[in-house]
Amino acid sequence: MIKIENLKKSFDNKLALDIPKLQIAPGEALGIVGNNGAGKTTLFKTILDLLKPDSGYVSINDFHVNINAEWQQVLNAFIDESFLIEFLKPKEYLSFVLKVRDAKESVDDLLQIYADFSNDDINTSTKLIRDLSTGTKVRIGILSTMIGTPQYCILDEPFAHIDPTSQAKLRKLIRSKQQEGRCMIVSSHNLQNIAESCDRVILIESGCIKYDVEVSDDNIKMLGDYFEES
Amino acid sequence: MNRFYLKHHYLSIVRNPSFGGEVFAIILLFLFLLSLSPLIYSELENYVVNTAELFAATNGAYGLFLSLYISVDLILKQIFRRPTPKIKYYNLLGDFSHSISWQYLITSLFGILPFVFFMPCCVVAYKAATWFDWTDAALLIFWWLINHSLGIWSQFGHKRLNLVFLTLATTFILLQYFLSSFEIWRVLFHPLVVALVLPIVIYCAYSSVRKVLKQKVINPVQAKDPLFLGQLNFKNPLYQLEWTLIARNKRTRSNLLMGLLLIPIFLFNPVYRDSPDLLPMVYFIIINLVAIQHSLYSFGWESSYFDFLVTTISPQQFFIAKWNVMLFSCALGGLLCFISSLFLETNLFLLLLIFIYSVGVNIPLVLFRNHYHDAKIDLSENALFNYNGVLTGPILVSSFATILLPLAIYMVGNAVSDGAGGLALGAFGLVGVLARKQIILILSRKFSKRKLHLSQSFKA
Repeated sequence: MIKIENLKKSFDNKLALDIPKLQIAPGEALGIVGNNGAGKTTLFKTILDLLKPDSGYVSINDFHVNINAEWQQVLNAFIDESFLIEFLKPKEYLSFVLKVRDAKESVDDLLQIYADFSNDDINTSTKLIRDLSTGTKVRIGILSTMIGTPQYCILDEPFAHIDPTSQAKLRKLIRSKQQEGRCMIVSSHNLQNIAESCDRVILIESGCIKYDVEVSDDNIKMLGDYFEES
Repeated sequence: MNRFYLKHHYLSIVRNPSFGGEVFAIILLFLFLLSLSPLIYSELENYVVNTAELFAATNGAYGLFLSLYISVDLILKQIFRRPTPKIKYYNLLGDFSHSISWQYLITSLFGILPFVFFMPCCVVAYKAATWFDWTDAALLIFWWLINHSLGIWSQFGHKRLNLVFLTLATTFILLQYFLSSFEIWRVLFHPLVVALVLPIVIYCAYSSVRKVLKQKVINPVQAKDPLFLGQLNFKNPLYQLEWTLIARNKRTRSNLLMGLLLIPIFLFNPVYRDSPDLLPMVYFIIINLVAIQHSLYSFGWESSYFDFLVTTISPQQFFIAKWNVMLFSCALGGLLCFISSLFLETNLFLLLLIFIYSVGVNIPLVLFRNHYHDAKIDLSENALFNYNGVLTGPILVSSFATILLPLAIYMVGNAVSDGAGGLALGAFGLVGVLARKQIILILSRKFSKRKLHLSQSFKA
């Protein structure tokens, strides 16, 4: 369980995050939506212990993230392309992550398992990651979070730079991983993508949770209306 | 004339993250050369008096001139390097087509300045070497000359090969005069043979190395087996990462190659070899060469994937891997010094003590210094503390701390009692080696505390 209590974070006296309570259960598929600057990435970075909150805490499986690093064993994340190691080739990077995660499968096994989501850009590319397109980088990042058997996966705007076909495949991938019992936490600007891949959706605005609802047609319409009116 | 281009050129200079560091280095070089002015002056005076009394020498004027000349040249190279692509970019914007010819003229003029300077520079450097009979100043000028030729080379972006060959040929012909000053080269080669053969040998060696690097590392598209990491196949992925970084970062690679080229120059130079105080300095430089360079650049490069590392790998694993890579590099440098010592009959025990000091003190020192950033790395800040300033700031601090500090200990120790300097170094080093586990633990704890800060610092 990921627990967030009284979490507050400000930048230059401007409140960026204010979440009194949030719980994310294992096996959930949680979508987070919000406008630019709403606080989605700030929330993720706080969960990943990349930002120190002004107050409150985040715990993963009862380990406070800033005190105990055990959470690193149960959580994979991809925030943006900067998480990738740019001077490695795609297969080298995946091989590196496999070794870091002590995963048993080989790179080829991994690419075989996710054959739908990987393509020649990744499978046979001999270019360094820095020379690849943003979409390909994002797909490599997403693949790397699938490595091993983490309880939780965090994907920050994974739909943003990938083509419509890959978006559809990603939606299916998120669903299938959730059905395997993995908790998938995904942010997006696109409500439709969240609606099709998640069970629960949170709307963040100015660092605060405005809505925390189950995915249903009515709720998605309500959230859509909120964005149109704001 | 439209000032748009000049204004933006100015901004690109002052906002270049490396600019502050390079200016600082130029000032240091300038001051060093200036401090040599009396020596340069006296040599020049002798030369002038002994030849045709061409100049009316004033006190230190020639030394000052030489210092200014080199400093200005370096600054110009920094400011006006490869300007034309920018011009083309501005032209593409379409707003300044009326003044584009002026801009081309200005940048072209600046672009050819290094070439205008090059020949007189060669003459000055050659004369200096002759006058000084291979003193420190001549070595410094030689170093600068290599740098200068590489700068000119880079102006062409490796495209105009004829001019590159011309530059290389000029440099290497000049080089053989310098090399022929060494006793060992005199024995092995006649200067004329060196002049003819050396450029060819060096070029062939360079092209072979480049071919291998290009196939395997620089341009992996051409490589048959794309898995460079797979080829290395270390059990610990962090070691693979460190070595791949060395191989694929052009700065680490070129600095390493340049450093390796310098090793024989230092080791076989009688000035250093026969001096009891300078030889330890040479040992320190060589043994710590890779450790300092790699540490600097690896920490700098980690900026791009720092978040991944700090959310995946424990600080202890991180530091153990770095320590071991540096230990290996120190051992390699130590081995080179050891081999040279067998031929040159130098003090092997001192070499051992310096190696121990390097492992026990310099490695933790460099590791500590290079992950230490107080402020967020912001491009609007002073360049020395900027994103790339991660490289330029620490390189100065690390170099002083890792070479000058132990030299001071060595000299003070020897002043107290003959041989005590080396023993003091060994003692300090031994403490560091024995306390390796604790030091890594301390570094890891400090790193963990600063992780949040560093994560933000690297993200600029």
